Amino acid sequence: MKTKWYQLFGLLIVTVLLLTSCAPAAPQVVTVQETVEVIKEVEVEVEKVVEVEKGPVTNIWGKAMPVDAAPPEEQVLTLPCVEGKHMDIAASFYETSKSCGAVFLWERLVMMDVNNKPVPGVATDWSLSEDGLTWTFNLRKDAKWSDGSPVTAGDFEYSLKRQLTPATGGSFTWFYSDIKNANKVVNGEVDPEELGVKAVDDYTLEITTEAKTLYLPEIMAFPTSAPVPKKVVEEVGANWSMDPATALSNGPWKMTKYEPGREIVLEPNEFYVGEHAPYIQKFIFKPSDGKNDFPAYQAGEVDGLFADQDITPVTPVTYRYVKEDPNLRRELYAFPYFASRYIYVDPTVKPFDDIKVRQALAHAIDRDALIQVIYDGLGDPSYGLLPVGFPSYVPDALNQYQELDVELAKSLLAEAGYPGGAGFPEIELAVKTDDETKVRTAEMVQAMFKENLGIDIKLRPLDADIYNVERGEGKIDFGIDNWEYDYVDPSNFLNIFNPNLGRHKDWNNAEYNELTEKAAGWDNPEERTKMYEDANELLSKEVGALFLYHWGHAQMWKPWVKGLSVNDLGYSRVPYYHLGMHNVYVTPK
Amino acid sequence: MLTQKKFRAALKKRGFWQDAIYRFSKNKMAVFGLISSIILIFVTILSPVIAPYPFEKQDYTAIGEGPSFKHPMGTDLLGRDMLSRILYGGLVSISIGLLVQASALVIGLPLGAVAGYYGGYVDLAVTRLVDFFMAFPSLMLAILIMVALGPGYSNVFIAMAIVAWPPICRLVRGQFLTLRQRDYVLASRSIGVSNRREIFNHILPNSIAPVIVAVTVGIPAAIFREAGLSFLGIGVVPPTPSWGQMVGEYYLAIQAYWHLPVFPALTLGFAILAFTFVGDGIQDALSPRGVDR
Repeated sequence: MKTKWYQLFGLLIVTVLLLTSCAPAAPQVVTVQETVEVIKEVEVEVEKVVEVEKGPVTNIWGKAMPVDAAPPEEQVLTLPCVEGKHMDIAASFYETSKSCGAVFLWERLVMMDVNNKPVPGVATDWSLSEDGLTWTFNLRKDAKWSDGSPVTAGDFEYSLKRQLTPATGGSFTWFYSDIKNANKVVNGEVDPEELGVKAVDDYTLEITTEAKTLYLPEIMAFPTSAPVPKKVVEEVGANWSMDPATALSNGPWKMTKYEPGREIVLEPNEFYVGEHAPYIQKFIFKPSDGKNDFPAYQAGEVDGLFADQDITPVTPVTYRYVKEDPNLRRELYAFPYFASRYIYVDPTVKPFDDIKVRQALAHAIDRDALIQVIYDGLGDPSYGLLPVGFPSYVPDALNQYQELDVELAKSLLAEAGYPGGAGFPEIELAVKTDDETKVRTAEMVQAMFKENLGIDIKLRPLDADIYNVERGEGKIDFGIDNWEYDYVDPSNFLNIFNPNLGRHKDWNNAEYNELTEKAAGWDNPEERTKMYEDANELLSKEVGALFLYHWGHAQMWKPWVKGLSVNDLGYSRVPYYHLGMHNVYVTPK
Repeated sequence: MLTQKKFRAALKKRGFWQDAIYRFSKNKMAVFGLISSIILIFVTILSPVIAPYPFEKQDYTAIGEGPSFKHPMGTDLLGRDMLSRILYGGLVSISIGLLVQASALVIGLPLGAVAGYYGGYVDLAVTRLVDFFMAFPSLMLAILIMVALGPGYSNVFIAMAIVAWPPICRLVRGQFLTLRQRDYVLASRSIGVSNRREIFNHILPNSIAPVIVAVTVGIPAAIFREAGLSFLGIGVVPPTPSWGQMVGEYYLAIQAYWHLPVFPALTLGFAILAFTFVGDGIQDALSPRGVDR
């Protein structure tokens, strides 16, 4: 009895709390035009820092501080993050505490600048051999681990071999399919020593590819291509990244505190010498679930809401709210993002083996409504895999294959033998539950299929980890999936639908495979672009997937955070994986 | 004289149950709870008929609108009418609460009776089984089962029924164990009454009162537990609503859209209060040592 009254009391208190925290009014429906205007307004209001004026003070890395910056010891950023299982990003990418500093700790051979162009990292320069199969990277000799020992080509060689060895359990191994023998090593068919990565001497690394691969430097710029300290990892084993004493890094920062669930702290690696020295001296990462960081931001507990890849701390609901608020709006940085969300269909199982069924489903989706309702217009509808503005993206070229056309969809479905949806098999749409936008997308698509085609589909909500495992085992036949860019080259997107190069193994189209494999090493840039254009068109035309939308991203930074990079398109933000954080500094609060 | 006669006659006729009903009817909170519960049950059962819109109907021209004449409780972020969703969500939440307790009774009562009456190895086996299930915190066990089974209405029901029967079983067993020792049972046995008659005519009627209390008090607890599961996103499958799922989906949006979490939370709170009042009223009415109000 007593305990139950206690529960009731709790409930009443919660109810009262809910009532007292009510905001006065709900925002109105916003149209696309308004959204665009607001983004522009935000852009104008934000003070852009392209060139900063340097003052006389230099920091621990010897970099001159901007005149308006706070003293070096006050260059501290507190950020929320989504925690993974460890920091070892060069072992299993998806399981890493990526946003808790793992992407900042290691400098790769090549780094990407704020416009996604490769620039030197640990390597000073790189070249391709005559036959086009061997890349040679020359490493700089002053690169040091955070214990002062030199970073050598052997560390890079060891790191890649370790990542692709089946025993490591890497989840991003197909990313390296272009490297010689990579797939065989991953499948355990050959010894990791056969991998086409070789340290010629301490400062020269050779990478051999299966076929000519022009985007290899970009691949080596991705966070998973980080080096690991060979000596330490061999000695300590898999848990080396979870203890500040053994988690050596070669970037400007090193980890000084690792308390899962509480705090992860990065502080300067005083041995760092290089072009990408930063201003920020200390990061304090506060792990959270990534969905409820906005109240912490408002309360001033964190200095920014900085995008993780999979979960955007500025959720669409927060975005809509912030956009309406004249003060908060100044701290909002919305920008288009290279990403694509689609419904994956397995064309080898019924009823999707009939292209007419896939076409009918594709033509029954109202993409404008999806992006408007779910993202409040922050994004673009999509009819193909490549996002707007990406190389080989041709505006409006693919609309005809997948755009909303209810009459056409109905007739296609009837031709496939299911007039009005009669007799259509029961199908389930798998969807990850880690992000509200995915479930909302699924619910909307479900309603669209019902209304436009008369088909009842069921939803199958899955935990993100379970979804990833099932996808790896080929068990997802119909599911909401997405791809976000790692580097700016069409191969990054289009390779995922080539079973030899990417993660989706079911859509096996000989013409598509040939196009993507040939284009990888094609020297003539115009012809290469055209090949990828054709591949992109083929994927959309043959309905390898039902393409939904390219969603935009948003970050929030407190007014005292300065030095956000402006990209070619004029958007200010801090790139997540790539260089950009090294320009950020804080002014006195 | 006449009135006293009537009074005595009435007093003579009033048995235990009449007494209980009388006590219950004098308990204002309990009557209020009972009436509210009945209204809630009827309204939710009739929700497909009385809801102003179908619960899954999306209107993209009315996203997240506040309460208005058209939508008394506003619309959610997909433009669905909140009142209709709350009504239909009530059908899910309340039916799960009732069904779970009913099945707990169906499983727990016979098992507990058999264990308590026959004792020995049967008792040992049942008791160990009950101990096993009660060793885990109930919500955690339910979550574990849900993760294994996957979301869905019937799976929520299964998971919660598995969690709900052991306490009932243990209670019934205890009742049988004590009543079996009573003199009147011994007397009935000594004149050769069959096992069956002994169980159903002598022990069961005398042990049923605390069981009824446990079952009714368990209904709001079950509704609350369902809300907990759905709040965590492992309950019913969207677009089917339930109160807990609605609160869980929108509680983070409270700054921008206060009506989204508040209305389901209020309804949930009201329903749990109503069912709890009924349970408490029944307990007071049936408890021999209960406070006479």
